[in-house]
Formats: sequence, C-alpha cells, structure tokens
Amino acid sequence: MSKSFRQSQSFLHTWSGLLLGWVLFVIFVAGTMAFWREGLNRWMRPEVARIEQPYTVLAGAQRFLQSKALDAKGWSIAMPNERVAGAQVYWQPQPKPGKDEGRRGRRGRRDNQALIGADGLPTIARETRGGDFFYRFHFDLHYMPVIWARWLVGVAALAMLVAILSGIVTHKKIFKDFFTLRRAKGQRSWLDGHNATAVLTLPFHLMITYTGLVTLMAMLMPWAVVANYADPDALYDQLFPRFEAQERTGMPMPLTDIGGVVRDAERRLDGPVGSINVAEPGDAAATITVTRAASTMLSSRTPSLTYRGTDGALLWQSPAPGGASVTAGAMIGLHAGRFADYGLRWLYFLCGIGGTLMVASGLVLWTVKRREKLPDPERPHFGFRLVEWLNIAVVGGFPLGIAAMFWANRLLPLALKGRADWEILALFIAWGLALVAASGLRATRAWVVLLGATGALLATIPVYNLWATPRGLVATAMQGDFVLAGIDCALVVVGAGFLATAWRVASYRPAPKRARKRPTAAAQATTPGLQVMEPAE
Amino acid sequence: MTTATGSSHANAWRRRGDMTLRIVAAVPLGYGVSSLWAMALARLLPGDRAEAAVAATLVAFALCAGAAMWAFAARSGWRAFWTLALAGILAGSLTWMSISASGRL
Amino acid sequence: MNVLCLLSAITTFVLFGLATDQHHQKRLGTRLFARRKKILRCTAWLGVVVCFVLAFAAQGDVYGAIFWLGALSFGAAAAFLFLNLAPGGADKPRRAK
Repeated sequence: MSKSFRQSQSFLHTWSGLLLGWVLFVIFVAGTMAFWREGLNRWMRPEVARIEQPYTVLAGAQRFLQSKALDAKGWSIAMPNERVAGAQVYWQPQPKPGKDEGRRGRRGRRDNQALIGADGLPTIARETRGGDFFYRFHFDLHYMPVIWARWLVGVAALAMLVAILSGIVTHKKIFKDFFTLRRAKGQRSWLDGHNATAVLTLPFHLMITYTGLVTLMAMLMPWAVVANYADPDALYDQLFPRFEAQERTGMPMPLTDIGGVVRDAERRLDGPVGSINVAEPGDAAATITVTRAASTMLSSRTPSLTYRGTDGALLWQSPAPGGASVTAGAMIGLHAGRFADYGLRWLYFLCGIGGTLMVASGLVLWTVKRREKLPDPERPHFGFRLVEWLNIAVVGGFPLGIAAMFWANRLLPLALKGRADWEILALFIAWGLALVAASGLRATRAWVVLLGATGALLATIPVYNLWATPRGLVATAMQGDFVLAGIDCALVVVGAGFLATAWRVASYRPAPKRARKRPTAAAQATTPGLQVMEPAE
Repeated sequence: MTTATGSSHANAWRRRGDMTLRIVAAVPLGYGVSSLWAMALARLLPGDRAEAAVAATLVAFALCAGAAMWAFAARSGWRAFWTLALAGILAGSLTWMSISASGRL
Repeated sequence: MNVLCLLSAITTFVLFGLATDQHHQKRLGTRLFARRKKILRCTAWLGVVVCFVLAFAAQGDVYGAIFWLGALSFGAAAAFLFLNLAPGGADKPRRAK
C-alpha cells in the first residue's frame, strides 16, 4: 500500500470522523443502551410485576380493547413474554369521513395506547418512555422532525462507514500493533486506545454501521426502486405482502378468543408470536393477523398468518421472501439484535461500549494531537476551541443527561401530568447545564466536574433503588430477576468508571518536555515499545 | 497531490481548489454516482424486479463509501471529479437505455 | 458451552499477544525466538478454529458465526486488557536462555 494512498485516507479518516463525531457519539450511546430496551422498560417502571402467564395478559388485553375500542379500525397488540414490561396495545380509531389516513394510518399516539400488565389489567405504573426512548432516540433524535433526524443519522452513518474503511487503510501495522498500549505517553496513548477499541471489535463496527444504513435504506437510497417501479406501492405490496384489507360490513359479530388463534399460529409458524393485529374488530369482516416474533429468527421480516376474526379460520399465509429480501431482513435483524439471547446480547452491549469509546477517544485524540502543536497553548485557534468545547459538551454532557433522566424517573411525582416528557426534559436540562459548564470552566475542570457528576449520579441510583423501590438489587437477585439486577450492577460499574476517569483527569500532570533523542535503529530493535509515529497528515 | 513552483499565494488557491473538487467529488457527486449505479444495477440484475431493486440498494452504500475514498485517493482533485462523473454518465446511460427499452412496473 | 467458547477465545488471544516481542518479554521474562513465536502463533490459530467449533456448538447453525466473531472480539479485548494492565511481569530482559 503506497504511502500517499495511506496519507490521503488518513486525512479522510480524520475529517469524516470529526465532522459528525458528536452525532455519532450520541447515536452509539443511545443505541448501545437500546440493546437492553425491554429491561430498561421494566427497570424504569419498578411498579410492574414480571410477566409469568403471557396468555393471561393477552386475554386481558383483548378484554380491555373490547371494552375501550370495539369500533376501532384496528388494534395492535405486542405479544407479552417474561422479558417485557407488559403487552403494549394500540388502537386506531375509525378515520373521520373526508380525511385520508394514508397507507399505514397513524399509530402510536399517546391517547390511543395502553400497557397491559401481568394481571391482565392496564398497568398502574409511573408514566415513562422507558428503554423505548433510547431506541427511538438513536435514529429519530428528539425535538426535531423525524425525517430531518433520520437524514442526519443516515449521513452520520455513512461518514462512520468511510471513517472505518479509511481507518483500516491508514492503520499501518494493524496486526503488529494489535496488543500495543503505550501508557502515559500523551497522544500516542490516546492513539493506542482509539486503535484498540476500534480494531478489537472491528467486525461489530463494520456490521453495525453497514446494517444501520440498511435500516434507513428506503429513505437514503430509494433510487434503485425508482428505476424499476413507477408506482412504489407495487413494490411494497410484493416485499411486505398482506391480506387484502376488508371493508367494514357494519354487521357486529363477537371476536373469537385471540389466545386460541395465537396458539394455533405458534404451531403453524413453528415459533412464538410477536405481534397481533386485528382489523375491523367487532365486525363480521374482522381479521386477526399474527406475526412471528422477531426474537426467534435472524431476519427481521418474520412470516405472518391472517385468520378470520369471527371464528379463527385461517385465511392467508405470507409467502416465502426472495433472496435479496431475506438478506435485507437478516441485515436489519443483525443490527437490532432482537434474536440475541442473553449471552450474545452481552457481547453486543460490550461491543457497543467499545464503539462508544472508539468515537469518544477519536474526538479527544484530535485535540490532544493538535494541542502539542499549538504555537500558543494559552490561546488556541478557533477550530481547536470549538472541537474541545463540543467534546466536553457532548461526551461529557450527554451521559450526564442520561443520569439525570434516570434520577428524574425515580424522583418525579408519580401523578405529574406529562411525566414522560418531563423525564426527557430533565435529560436536556442537565445537558444544557453541561454546555454552560463547558463554556465557562477551564477544559480540565469542566471534564472533571462533568465526568465526576455523571459517575456519582449513576452509581448512587442502585442505592436509591434498594431504599425506596421494591426492586432493589437484593430483591431482584433473590427473585432471580437478573436483568433488573444486572442493570443496577452495570450502573454501579459504569458510574465507577466515570469517577475513575474523572480522578485520572484531575490528577494528570503532563511530563515536563525533555529533548527527545532520535531513536537509532539498534535502539528500536531492542526496545520494541518505542514506536515510530504514524505519518501526520 | 502535486506542488507546482510559483508564488505560495497561487499554491494556496490551487490546494483549496483541489480540496474543494475532492469534497464535491466525495459527497454530492459520490452520492449521485452511487445512486445512478444502484439504478443501473436494479435494471440489469436478473430475476425478480423487486429483489433486484433491494439487492442494488444493499450494495449502493458500499459504492458511496468507495466513491468517497477514491475522491481522496485519486492523484488530483480534477482526476477524482472526472473519473467519478464518467462512471456516473455510464451508469445513467445504461439506466436510461434500459428504461426506454422495457419501462417500469 | 458459551463460556467454553469465550475461554477459548481469551486463550487464543493471550497466545497471540505472547507471540509479540513486547509482551513475551514482559510476562515471561525471556526474549522471543523465532521458533517459540511460531509455536505460539500456530497454537493460537488452532484456538481460533476451536473457538469456531465451540461457537457453533453453543449457538447453532444460524447464530454460530455471529457468536464466533463476538467471542473473538471479547477474547481479543480481554487479552489486550490483561496483557497491558495486569500488574507483574519483568520489564528488563534477563539473560537469554
């Protein structure tokens, strides 16, 4: 590989990584947390009990929907299991005459949903977005139109892909330096840390970035579809086939027991059910569409069956998808990791943390490298100050916001109106304060304050849990509820990590600059720790 | 990147121009060329039209990344620009000919 | 079986690490000669294969490859942290054997 190729890619790596690095950081943090989405859903609602009897919950969900929304256009029930907080149900009211709902209608509005708990009744729990917030945030961000957010996230993901590929090209001795970690050597130590977090979990980073792009492909790269289809609906009907929607007959007839339908479907699909959609419930034309759980196969595009609503007779079975569809589904499945059992999920989580550290260390490395070259260290140029400020504000501020959100989840009054939105506001208020700290304090002090505060806030939540909630670490461990216990433990460990980092920053004393001897060839042979620097761009 | 003799002022502008060409080649042009190749692949891949479109879309992101890397690896900014543009024109022509011949669904 | 797979990955990468001059010197105290380097490397590659087999045994056909890559990353990270951060090991080369 020629030197100038490597140098050109080094330049590209630095800039494609830096320009959107802060967006990538928050995506990685939220996305990594989203691997424990269902666990966090439960953790942030300590009132809800673990689900032991999914079919009881399902029957309760049907009873609830029949009493609440019998004349709805459609119901959607997420099949409960022992990992989730409850059965999430949505209902879509009949469209008002003269209003076009569009192909997929409008779902997920706050007043048309409920969570059915272990006893089959709507849960009485604190209102919170739970783990779903982090999942949504990592591609929809917040406080902005969803399409803008997804474009920003999509462009960032493409920049990430370019950064990874150019990083591999640039990394001169990727195998030779695999285990190298030079300590207390300033920019070389940061480089080794950045290289380690990047290379050791490289398969994951390549996979998660590329598959992340695939999840947004309909928006980012619609042109191949445009080339083949004048009417995109024709494509969607083929890729996402469904039973022809029936008009409501106006003849009311009771809906059959959904539980019975689900049991039959699980037999036919040879796997657990993930979601149930009822169209035109309470009518003679009602249909029940049952889809296999995404957690049971690699592809996210799981097969489904449609039954007649009145008597549970099978009406339609989804056809087997083609090769490219299966590949796309597998890629999306790999990204979401819904198929992963606990062992594999921990590996995903640890790799995600590695990715987060990779992005953060890259951002910091940029400033460390250039600080050594500043003509006047007391008055750096604007670009340097901007990057340093953003580093502190985002890498220091966003985790602080999350810690604040967790505390808000614990402390806000249960009856507060719009409580879920207030929790999220707490995140952004804390993040805003971090921005102020980054602007007002000296860099080192700002880092220490933000990292230390984050660490202290995170590590003390499990203590509060022990004292004030029925789901403290002792209780959950004794009940064998290892997800909740694991979250508490992880909070302590991560909090301790932040505190340790703050301590390191606070006690860092840069070594006095000595005149550096040029390493001789003999010296290099016998002291392999003394490496020659990567070429600067 | 070549450095020419002459005033350093002219050199600075030459370098800025070179960099601008590369950035334009990498991002707007690179995306455009990748999209055109995605369209061409969707037309030319055999088999079911929906599957071909999906397959072409899956590959397109690798093309985007490759275009960006080429934009900076090429010997000069201008070379990056015209090579990518040529690749785009080729893909566009193939697509146009295919659509003119057999239309869209 | 998951745990066995992870352990094999950790062993593999510790061996790879010990096959580098720096870490061999630090942990085992003696200089790394070509023959020992070759033995360590071969054994480590054998470990990669063992990890592959165990991964498929643990997770089945579809997820085996995914678990294998994840286990290798885990093993690499664990070996990296141990070799670089665990205390002990001689820093000065003793008299070569």
